[in-house]
Amino acid sequence: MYCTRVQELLPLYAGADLAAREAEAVRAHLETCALCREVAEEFAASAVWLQAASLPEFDEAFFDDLRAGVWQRQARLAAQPTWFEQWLPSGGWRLVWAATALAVLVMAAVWSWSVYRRGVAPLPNRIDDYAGTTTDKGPTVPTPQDNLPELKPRSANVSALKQQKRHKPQAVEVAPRLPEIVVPPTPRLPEQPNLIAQATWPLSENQGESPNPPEMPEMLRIELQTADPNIRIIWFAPKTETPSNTKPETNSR
Amino acid sequence: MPSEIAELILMANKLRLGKAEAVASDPQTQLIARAQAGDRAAFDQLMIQHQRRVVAVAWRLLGSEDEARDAAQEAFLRVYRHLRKFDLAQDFSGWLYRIVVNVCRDLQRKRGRHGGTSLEEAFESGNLPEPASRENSEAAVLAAQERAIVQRALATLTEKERAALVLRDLEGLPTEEVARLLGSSPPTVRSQISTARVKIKAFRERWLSGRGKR
Repeated sequence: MYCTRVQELLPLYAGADLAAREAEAVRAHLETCALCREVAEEFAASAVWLQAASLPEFDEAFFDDLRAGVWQRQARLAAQPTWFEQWLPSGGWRLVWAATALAVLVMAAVWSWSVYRRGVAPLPNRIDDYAGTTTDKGPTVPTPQDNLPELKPRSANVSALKQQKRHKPQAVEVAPRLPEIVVPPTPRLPEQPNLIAQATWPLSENQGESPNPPEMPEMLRIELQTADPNIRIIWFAPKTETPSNTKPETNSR
Repeated sequence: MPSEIAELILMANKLRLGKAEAVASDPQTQLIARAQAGDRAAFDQLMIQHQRRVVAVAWRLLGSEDEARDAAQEAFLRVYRHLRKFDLAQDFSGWLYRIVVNVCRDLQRKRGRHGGTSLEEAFESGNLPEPASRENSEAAVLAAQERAIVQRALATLTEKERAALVLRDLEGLPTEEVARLLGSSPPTVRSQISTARVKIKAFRERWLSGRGKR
């Protein structure tokens, strides 16, 4: 064990506070190291010096005075009322209970009086109804109107009437009348030709002639086959007569 | 009447703890039981048995006779007020030690003394008695001087170091007991004791070196 480590353990070694293994290691080191041995002796002398300092000579009068002081303080504490007893009146617990009951009654009376004074607001006599109206422009969104039956006062007794007289009737907030919303009629779309029906009758020369549907303009069916054999473009166009002099010129050369 | 009540308390403890014979036969325990029952004479006897030790610990922790007396009175007062809650199977001395240490700690805190004074402050504050030789001084004066020196050395320790050192080195209690009384752990107490011994040694060396120069 090194000197630095031993000197750290010497304070505990001097008071026999080391574990047995550590104490044996320190003891073995002290046999070989004079410096650590000197430090250990200083610690031992310090401990002896501390213990050798005797206590002051306390005589019996000192201790008699000590015990008398204990009993005096105890008597003073026993005579002192507790904090609760300081607030407790001389009448005792009965007075406390009576005061508590009285306070509860007073609070209940005050609360009842406040509820009585506040009262209930009178209901309005007329309430807007919700019947709808119609105009020439079309149906309108129903708006509240006076349609509900008239409500009678809650009670007809004297106290209620007095209450109504005493208090000003509070204005009942009525929902504002909603503006009329006129829905324009649905516009009529022009009749579309029944192209599906027309698609069923062939119009090309290769497919032969077929009679035009009655009262239907003659339509020309034009088919175009794309490179993709699955895609074919078909459109219909009204057949118009072309002048004879507009025949395509052929190249006679 | 108090003796009958004390016997009832002893019987109740017997049934509860199962250590009937050991508890009942101990005169200390009987005395405590009588004091618990309200016997003032029994409590007075308890004070007489432990007063010297209480005052010694208080004096070593506080360093003043007046403060030691106040602390001892307060400690016995607390014992009287809480004696009914004391379990007879417990160690009364350990319980008393704990109360004394707590009272001294409270007094020190009330008087604003938490940490110890430094070594320099202990010597610079002056009024350090000159080490007198034994030939030309009465023993009492010498003893008083030594006590003052020791008190000054103890003042260089912190509150916890001082309590640990006093209980371990001056009262001779084992480290585990000291840890239990101080509400700490044995390794912590060992560390505090080690630091305290180093400080005491340093103070003594400096004091002796000052004596050697004269």
